[in-house]
Amino acid sequence: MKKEIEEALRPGTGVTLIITAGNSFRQDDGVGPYIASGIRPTSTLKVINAGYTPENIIEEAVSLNPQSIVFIDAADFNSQAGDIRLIPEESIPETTVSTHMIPLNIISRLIADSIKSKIAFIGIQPKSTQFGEDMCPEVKSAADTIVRTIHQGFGRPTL
Amino acid sequence: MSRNVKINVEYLTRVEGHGNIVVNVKENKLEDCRLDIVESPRFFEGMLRGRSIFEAQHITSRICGICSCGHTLASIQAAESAIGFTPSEQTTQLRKLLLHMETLDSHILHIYLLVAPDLLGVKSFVPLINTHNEVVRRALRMKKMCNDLCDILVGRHVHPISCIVGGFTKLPQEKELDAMMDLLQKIQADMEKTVELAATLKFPEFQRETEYVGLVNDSDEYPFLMGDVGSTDGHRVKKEEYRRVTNEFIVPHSSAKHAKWNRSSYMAGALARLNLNYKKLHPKAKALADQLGLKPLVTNTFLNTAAQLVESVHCVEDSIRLLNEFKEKGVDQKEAVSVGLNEKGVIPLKAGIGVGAVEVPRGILFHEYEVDDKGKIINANCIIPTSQNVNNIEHDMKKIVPEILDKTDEQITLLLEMLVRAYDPCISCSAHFLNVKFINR
Repeated sequence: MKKEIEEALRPGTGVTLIITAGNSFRQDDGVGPYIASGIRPTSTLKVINAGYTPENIIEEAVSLNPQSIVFIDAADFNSQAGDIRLIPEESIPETTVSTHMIPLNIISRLIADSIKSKIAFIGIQPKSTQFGEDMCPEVKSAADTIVRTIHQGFGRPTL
Repeated sequence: MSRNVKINVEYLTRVEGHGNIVVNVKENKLEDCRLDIVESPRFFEGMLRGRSIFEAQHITSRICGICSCGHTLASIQAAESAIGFTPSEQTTQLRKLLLHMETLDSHILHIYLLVAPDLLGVKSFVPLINTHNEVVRRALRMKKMCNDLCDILVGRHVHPISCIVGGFTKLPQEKELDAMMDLLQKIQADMEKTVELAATLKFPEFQRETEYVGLVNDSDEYPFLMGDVGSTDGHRVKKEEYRRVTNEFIVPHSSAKHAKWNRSSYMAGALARLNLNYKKLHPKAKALADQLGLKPLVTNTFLNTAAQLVESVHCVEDSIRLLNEFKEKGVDQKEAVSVGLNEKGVIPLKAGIGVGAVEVPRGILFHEYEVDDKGKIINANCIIPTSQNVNNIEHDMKKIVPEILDKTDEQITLLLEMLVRAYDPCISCSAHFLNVKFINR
């Protein structure tokens, strides 16, 4: 794993909030919820699985007053399946906003502007996001690596 | 001075789906003015053929993520009408509550995130995050609370699980009624601030009288779930005769069919409902309508958004009334039904044709099913509010363009975009017609 990603996952001075997004019924898009289910929270490590309605977690995220927030989601950046990257916010497309869809970076801005948290986006390259509940081994392995790294940083043994 | 204007907005933003605005004015003469609907049809009626009426609501709910409860209820109503099943009073009241939650959710998002940016002079709600952070958060907070209410009532934020033909598989317990009331009271507080904000918004001036179509009834209730189909021109038909209302026809530039009744076009949605049923609004909603100058007949299309605000207040207050009734009388848990695909014949079946007509956020929604004696769907027809409105949108555009030719191209474009957005169109849901070219036939 790249150093910049390890740094993003490292504990800060306050609460670190991991927000995952994705749909478990769309194969590798379920990597976010899978990671959320693997993380064991502490007093300084919190996790929210936003699933496919990230706009619904804003108040909960703000109420935790995190010092840093790490969003984790499947992201297609034309790489090998399971590749993990830190995604610059400006490179996340502001897809058309409608009553039916609100992009993740908009949600992050809403939270960040409310509580001035440090924000990072981690993307995991999926192999397939078609209908189905199974993730490919590469993506699952990447997810396990992220969970392990977080737990190591926060002194939590991974189960 | 004569004027040439050529506008091609491809695609229109802050609406659901893909639509293009095309305007061509040559020497002050309007040569072309249309709303192209370029989405593909989705064949839901085809998917329903051969399926059981007991799974139809789960299929049609997927037509729309915002109106999933409305489609569920229209589907159930059509199915129950077809087999001659009459739901209990408790079931009907719970269905009304469910519909209120969805209407409120959709209206709030449209008012705050899609229309307010125009009225506050920004391109989208994104810049409002910096300038009006609390306002945007309030909108999303209200949306979430509506979603949570649906979750409590029907087991999911969207695409209800427990609301089925015959009733509800799970009914709210007392603690769930309390949880819903708590959420509604929080929404009520946020709604007060919403009304304060809305009072400061100024809508563009525009007048075009059209026929306004929606549900009507003979009771004191502002009809969302049940009624005949009526119009402000004084016409009224039973929901079973809905084809006399919609009279769908095809135009070359749209994959959504157009509709008309007694005039060249009609409008469905919040403004139509308000024009038809103003007197039946909750007193608080009616007071707001008066404050905003919404007394029928309101013929400024831009005020559809203001009518949505009025309806939002109505939905909150009427939901609280419904919940108070449930808390007082209690919910009869014995009414919970377990039907599945009706393998055990819990619901008596017979062959028939049934129509569901339900007011969803964007207007009246029709489902019609022809069902055999096993409950299998032989034919289905779904007519979505946006497809009923597209024709009226074009007539509005044709009226407004000559009136605003003194403005710049950018100003004309913005006003046309705002006009279309006022309808809160759900374009993907409206696409219905496929222009198939057969070769060598």
